[in-house]
Amino acid sequence: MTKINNNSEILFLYEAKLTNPNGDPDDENRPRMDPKTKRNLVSDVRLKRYFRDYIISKLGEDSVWVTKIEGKNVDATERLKRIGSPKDVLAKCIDARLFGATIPEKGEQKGKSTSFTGPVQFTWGYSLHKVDMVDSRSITSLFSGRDTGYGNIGKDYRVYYSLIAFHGAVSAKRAEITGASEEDLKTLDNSLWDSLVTETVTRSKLGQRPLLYLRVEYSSPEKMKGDLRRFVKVKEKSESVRDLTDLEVNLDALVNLVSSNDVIKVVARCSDDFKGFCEQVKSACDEGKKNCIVG
Amino acid sequence: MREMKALLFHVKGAMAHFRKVFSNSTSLSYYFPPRTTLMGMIAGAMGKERDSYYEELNQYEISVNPLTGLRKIMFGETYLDTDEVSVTSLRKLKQGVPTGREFVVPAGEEFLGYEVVVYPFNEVMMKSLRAPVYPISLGPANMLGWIDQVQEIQCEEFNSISGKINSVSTLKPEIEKDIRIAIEEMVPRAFDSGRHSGPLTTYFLEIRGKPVTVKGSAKGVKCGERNYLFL
Repeated sequence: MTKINNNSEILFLYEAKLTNPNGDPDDENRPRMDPKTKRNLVSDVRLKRYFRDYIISKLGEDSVWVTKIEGKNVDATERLKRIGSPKDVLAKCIDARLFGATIPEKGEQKGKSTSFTGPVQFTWGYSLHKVDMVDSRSITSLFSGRDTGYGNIGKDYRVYYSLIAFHGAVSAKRAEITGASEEDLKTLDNSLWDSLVTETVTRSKLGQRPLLYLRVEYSSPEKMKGDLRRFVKVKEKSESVRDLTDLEVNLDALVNLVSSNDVIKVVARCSDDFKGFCEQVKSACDEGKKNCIVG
Repeated sequence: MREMKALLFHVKGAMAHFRKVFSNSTSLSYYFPPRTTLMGMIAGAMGKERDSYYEELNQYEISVNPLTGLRKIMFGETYLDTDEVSVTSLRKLKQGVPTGREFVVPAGEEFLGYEVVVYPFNEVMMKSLRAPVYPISLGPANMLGWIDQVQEIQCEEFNSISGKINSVSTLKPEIEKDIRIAIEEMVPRAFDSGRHSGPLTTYFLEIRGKPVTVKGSAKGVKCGERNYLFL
């Protein structure tokens, strides 16, 4: 396992089309919105859930600490015994090493737990433009629950189009505590993108597509620029945004950041829509002789 | 009046959550980081461990003021129930705990920000804020932020004031045209070694960071043209 030596920051852009990127359980499962700015919001927990579900599908549920075990009744004590001590949780579960974990401890003191703050933290994601909700929102279901001969009418809220941006930070100092390694970061680099493809196949989550993933590694364990969404400028070309083509995305400031001396390593992945950006990153890397993985 | 140096910095981010100490199942947020949160932020930048710094950092006076307009929004969240040791609760087989969480977001701008003044000046602190050991956050770890404009400024101490101030204050501001005052009650100021907060204080703030007029006894510093009252 290779130690994480430097801080990194992550920018992840994905789109959500005619879907519900993150429903609010307190609000009839409507997509989370800031009503004043009409920004669509997505919690960091939602993003981490995609990653966790993807890891479970690849490596099994023992490699993830916070997860559901569907269709199985689990004996709690036996299960905890199998996972072991908080140290074992860190050793076995990649999500605990990356995102941190709260691990309850059995003992006389009720509610006692061990907490680790993970080196990888994501902020809440938000849309980089105003988002419209789909006007029609009633759906019918044939499972009425009553023998009336009719279907039931329920609510289903979706957004027309949302270009969502997440900012994340990787702390080298915190990685020392949870034991997160460069290999774990590599898994994150690869899986976050793939999870957005494979884990968004339920009815309410279909229509999401990753567009751009960028992780910049800084030259020291004390360097961070702060929210990378500052380096992305988005203009709405039409009154209502229904597609990526209705937006003008300017990433020049991001290319400048990649070219700067503060950045020593870059991991970038682009959809066809952002191919030009990945090419610019690649040439900036070649020019600065930086270690880059651009795909 | 004593002339001394102070440390000034800006902290910025997309969202913030400064949990009210008295909120129970629903997490409400103050409009601004209380002195205890700012101490934690500085301690994190200096690489100090949790609960290890109260005595040392309690010696500093801190002032805070919004740089941008502030708003609060509320969202529903589901917490894991960790009251009992059980994988069923931890792995969400059992129902979670539905709750609401309040966030502070910028009004009219993309990012929110606060101006912070720490007095007296400390060189190590300044260096740490320029290169923080732990990432900066505006409240919990996922409310990531960043620091800029870290600088040393010349100030004069005062114990009473009659005039404009550029900070959150315990003195009631005069009612003027076009100011929007929020009152934050029961805000912690310090922790003792057992992480107990002492008396809780009431503060007034202009939620767009505009200067307000106050009169009365309060400790603070005048730095150039700006007056800062301590939290």
